[in-house]
Amino acid sequence: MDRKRLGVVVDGSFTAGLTVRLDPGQSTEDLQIGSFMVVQGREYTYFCMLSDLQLRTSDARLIAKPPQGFTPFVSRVLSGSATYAMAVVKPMLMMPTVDVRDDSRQLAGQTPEERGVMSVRTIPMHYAELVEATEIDFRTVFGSPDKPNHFVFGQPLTMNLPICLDLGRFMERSSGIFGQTGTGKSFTALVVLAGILRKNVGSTLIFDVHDEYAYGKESEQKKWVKGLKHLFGSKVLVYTLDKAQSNRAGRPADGILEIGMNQIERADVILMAQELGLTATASATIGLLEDRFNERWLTELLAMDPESIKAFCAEKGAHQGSVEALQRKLRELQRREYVRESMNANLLDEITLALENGKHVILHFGKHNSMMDYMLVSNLVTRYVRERWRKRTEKYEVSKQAADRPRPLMITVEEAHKFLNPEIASQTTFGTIAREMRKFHVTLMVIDQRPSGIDSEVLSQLGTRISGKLADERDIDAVLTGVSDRSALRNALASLKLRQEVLVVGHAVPMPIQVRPRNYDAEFWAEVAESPVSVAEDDLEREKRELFGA
Amino acid sequence: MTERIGEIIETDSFMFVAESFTLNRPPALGSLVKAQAGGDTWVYGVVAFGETVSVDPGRGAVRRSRPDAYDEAVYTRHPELEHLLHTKFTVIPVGSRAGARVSQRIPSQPPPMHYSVYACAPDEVREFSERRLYLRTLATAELPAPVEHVLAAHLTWAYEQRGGDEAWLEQAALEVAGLLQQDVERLLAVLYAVDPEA
Repeated sequence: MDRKRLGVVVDGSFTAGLTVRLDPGQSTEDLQIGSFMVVQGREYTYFCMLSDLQLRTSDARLIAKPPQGFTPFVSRVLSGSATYAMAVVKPMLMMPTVDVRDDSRQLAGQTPEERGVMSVRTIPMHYAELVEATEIDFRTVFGSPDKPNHFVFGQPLTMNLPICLDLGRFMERSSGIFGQTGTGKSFTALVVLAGILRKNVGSTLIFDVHDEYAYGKESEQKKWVKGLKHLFGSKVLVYTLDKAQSNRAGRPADGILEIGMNQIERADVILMAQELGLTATASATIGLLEDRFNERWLTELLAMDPESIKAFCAEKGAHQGSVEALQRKLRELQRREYVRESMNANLLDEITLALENGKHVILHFGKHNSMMDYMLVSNLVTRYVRERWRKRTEKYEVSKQAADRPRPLMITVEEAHKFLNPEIASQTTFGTIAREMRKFHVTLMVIDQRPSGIDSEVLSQLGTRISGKLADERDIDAVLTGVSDRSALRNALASLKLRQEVLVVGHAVPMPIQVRPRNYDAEFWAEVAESPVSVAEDDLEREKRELFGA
Repeated sequence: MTERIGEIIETDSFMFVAESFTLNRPPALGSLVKAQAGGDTWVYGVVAFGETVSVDPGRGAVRRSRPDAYDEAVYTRHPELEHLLHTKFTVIPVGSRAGARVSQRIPSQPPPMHYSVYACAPDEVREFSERRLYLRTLATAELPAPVEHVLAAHLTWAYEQRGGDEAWLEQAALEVAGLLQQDVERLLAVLYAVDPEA
């Protein structure tokens, strides 16, 4: 297939990328930083990302004294000769040129590796041609929707053809969806989650604190979109903390989640130190309480009167002021509507079992959507689920039976910096999962607008990153923590539009690429929904009326 | 066959000088001419210089005009001037033709002394200038005149001979821009001179 020539390689290095002299007449304005391009070497064809554009002149006098009074003819001749442009492209993958010439070979094979695509190990010689990528080049690298586990995630910025995520690989490691407010993080997440549910590559546990995933929400275009419960019906179980919520039309809940004080552990409380205003001594004090009362420590603490506090302090050597302060602050937990004196583990078992059986669980917070509710419940549930997966994995390691192999589980967590900031990432369940749970088949999908608030050790463990535009330098640095070719990607990230453009880097794509994610709309729903959509459009309309009158 | 315009009176591998058959009218600066080189071989060259001087280098020209007789009248009153003066032009060889084969290399042999120089017809100009490797030869030759003026003259002349072929002119200008890119003043001199839109 013929490709449009853009220029020739004139300089470069393996580390810094190839410098390409653009052909006369090729305007820099037709090229976009971050776009996918091809360099045709003699032995290999290189798949590259455009990382920089530079303007040059052959004679310094043109800079010191720009000529005046150009006619179009003179300026046409000068541009591309004495004044010219250079492009810097970073080769990411390569493929033997003989295979590239053969379209059928280019499209064969399930994975890029099988098609002959390999990571780049060399660079082409001078005067290799830089050409525009064709549809076949995109398919070669990014696969086709007909391959197993490949899910159409979006389109490249300049073409109308599918870019796929390998969802199997996506779930193998933790992943992140980043972007400043308004970049469409939650819609991007919905597209990915719907893909995972559709392709059935694993189970997901979603903490839906902003009420977006279970029942949908209003989009920025003022349209109501469907939630995952609407699309996938019984495959998705919704547990809500908000009893009142479960009675509303069009929002079926499968259970009401309540938490017993006996289930709250020291780590859950310490996680909320900031929200509860706990001091540094709180951890030690809780430790003493746990020594004495085991899992009933919270109940006992809250039931203590001044006399029994004094007695406890005398017995355990605790500081009376600390205990009193702790008691005062933890009353906040007791006031939560969903917190009970004591609960058995049945409900958590039910959730875990559903996940093990291939269902997906959304924890819906409803009106209990303060940061404290979110942190308490998600950490507690995650801790429980993680423990189950760890046991399953250990059993599987002993038995080595395929049936015992734990199903991949991905936990979706919003506002991730609350759980994964450098101060507490080492203590929370989420931190543990991000760092090591891959071997237990549990991964995280973190969604955040301030990735710089997340512990760098956690960030470096992320397999796939999907990022919309970020303005803050520190956030950009954070997203690219532990990624090679950062300078090229930094430009690609900075050049994204605010809306509907993301950069995908990592495990689920063979090389970084800028993508327009799919619209989360009726067409998409029709494609992913398994059964006829369980909640009809008019139900949504009715709900809207209920909510807003009109 | 086109018009004979001169006879070679000096010749070497990199330039030749011909005497014009018409006094004071050498071929246009920058024009493409060809010299007979025996049989069906021809040497193509670009006119890089023209001059009219005294035939006897020891006797320079002197004033002949009078208040009532000047310019053309000088020649009417002094018919002997036709024999005392001669017009010469310098040609830079840039290619050759052997039968139907045209090459844009400097010919291996200089054209023979006293052989004829011919003008080129527009068709021949078109054919020869289709490829423009010869521009490099011209730009790097040792010229009796500044290179930018010779190049500008040639491009303008060829553009007209090709019937106002703007695409050709732009391509040729781009090639010249490549050749002169280290010296932008010269380049701009060429571009301003050949600009058809100016």
